[in-house]
Amino acid sequence: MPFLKRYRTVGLFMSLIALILSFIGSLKLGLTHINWMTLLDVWQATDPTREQLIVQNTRIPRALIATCVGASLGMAGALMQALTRNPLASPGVFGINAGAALFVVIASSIFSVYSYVSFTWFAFLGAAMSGGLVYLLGSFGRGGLTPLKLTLAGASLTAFFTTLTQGILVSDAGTMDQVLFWLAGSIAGRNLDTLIYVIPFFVIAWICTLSLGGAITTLTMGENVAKGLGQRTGWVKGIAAICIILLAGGSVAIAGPIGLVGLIIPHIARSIAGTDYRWILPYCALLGATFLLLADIGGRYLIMPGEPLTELLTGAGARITSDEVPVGVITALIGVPFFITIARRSISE
Amino acid sequence: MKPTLATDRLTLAYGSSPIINNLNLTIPKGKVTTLVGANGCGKSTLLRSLARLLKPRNGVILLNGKDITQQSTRKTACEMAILPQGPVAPEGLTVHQLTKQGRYPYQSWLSQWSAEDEEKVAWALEVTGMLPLKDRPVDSLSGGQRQRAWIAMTLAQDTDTLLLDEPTTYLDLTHQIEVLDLLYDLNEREGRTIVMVLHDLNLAARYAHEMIAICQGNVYSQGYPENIVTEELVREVFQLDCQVISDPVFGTPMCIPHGKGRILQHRKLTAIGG
Repeated sequence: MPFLKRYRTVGLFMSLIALILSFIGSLKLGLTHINWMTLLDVWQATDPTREQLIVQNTRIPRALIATCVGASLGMAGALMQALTRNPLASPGVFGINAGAALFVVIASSIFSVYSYVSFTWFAFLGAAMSGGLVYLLGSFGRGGLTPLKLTLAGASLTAFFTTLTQGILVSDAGTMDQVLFWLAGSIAGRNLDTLIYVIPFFVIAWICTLSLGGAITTLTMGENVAKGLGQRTGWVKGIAAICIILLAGGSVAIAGPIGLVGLIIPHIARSIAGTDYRWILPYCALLGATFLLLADIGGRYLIMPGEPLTELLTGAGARITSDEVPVGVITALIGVPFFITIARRSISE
Repeated sequence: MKPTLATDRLTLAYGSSPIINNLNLTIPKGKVTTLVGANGCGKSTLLRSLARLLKPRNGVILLNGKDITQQSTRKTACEMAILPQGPVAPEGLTVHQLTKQGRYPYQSWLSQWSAEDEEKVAWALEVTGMLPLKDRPVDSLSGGQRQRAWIAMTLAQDTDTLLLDEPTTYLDLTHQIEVLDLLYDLNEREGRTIVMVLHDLNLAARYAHEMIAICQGNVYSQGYPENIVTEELVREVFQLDCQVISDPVFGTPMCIPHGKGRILQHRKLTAIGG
């Protein structure tokens, strides 16, 4: 696909446009009909109508969250696939999302922590711990770190963490109500507080990730080759690992474990941008954000609730939009067939 | 003769068991040097440590007289290139992109891709004969072409010294000769120092000015192949009985292993082992 390569810049621009369109779509589409005039007036409305309140309090936070989380998960997945040279790597498959989720549930259930600030730190901690554990388990035994062992370690840890999480929830009905919707991976009904708290971490991680692009490309040629070319691979891998933890942990703190975005998006980005991570990573950010926005919009239509007015005005509490399908379910519906395709291809190789 | 690479009381180990113990070694500048030895004798380990891919347990490695741990790895990469054993290119990476990676040590925030970078890449593609294949993905090439593409990358690095770990492994005879000829030419024309681990003793003897035979983590002997390749060396280093004759074409030492196999009728009388 050399002809595609020439249009990498054009493609990036088109992805940006797709992102903007999806963002507008996320504001406009849904249970409550919002017409263009209402949408345009939102910004200067002094006495907002009910529709405008919905846009302000529900739809804008939701679209912003989808954009930031989607971009972060896409980039985290790309970093992981590059670092482990494993096409199946992603925060979801390697147990990083599950570990972060477990720690958040432990925080709210055992330590009775409910503030988004502590949630965020527990999510970072959980992401770091599970990432380290998968890496450790994957490098045991003969042959060191192999893609197969990493994937197996990730799959078994995901299962383990999920079981623990469920065990805690079953024994603690109070927590269960609070986090069940969150656990399915949802960006609906969140207020912006968590996002505002996490955004500085995201921004740092985005900048670091994008500036690592060239070094990551060299690292994908193999650690020995990269070292021979004068790269301090330990530094590059360390910084990339911190970025992954910030991106995946922050995403879980905001939206719960949303799977498979980090898996699919890098593959799509690579099919457009080739092998150069200086291009792949920005594509992942734009496409990941677009994908999550679209999946979220899709979730609003998949099951149309029988009774109207479920989309309420307040931003807090998860129950208000519980008639919708959580976005994590949508990404899974799209992602699983994709995952199987990649798995079959990489095993046959 | 000024050495390009030297070690001083070098000790290398994986875990607790030492592989190389207190080794002193000098590798001459502007020559082709081959490291030979049995499997597991430590020759690849030694090459990896010379290329700073493996940290010494003890002792120092000197590149052009300077301790390689004392200068930035990027600077070292401008003086010495390494082609590790069996490198794998990411799916879809083209020969041109691979070769461009060789300019990595010259890139930084301040100095982006320059005319000199472009020139070195073009030269590397040219001398390796990869110019017609430069837009092909590396994973679609034959083994020999692939190895040449990787060599193009190390050449784009524009270093005086080039280390290669078993560059001919998994290649058929034609491609082995193709790769070794390329390296030999580089030394002849450009005076580059080439250090490589080779499995094939006969090819090692034919292409090398200097041969270093490694046995159990030590240098068994070092020098011109015609001076050091003897039946005794092969017995000690490879635990193999053989007969060393002079190559009928090149005159370099050639080792004919004893052992079993068909012996043609008219040879029976002179055959080994009676």
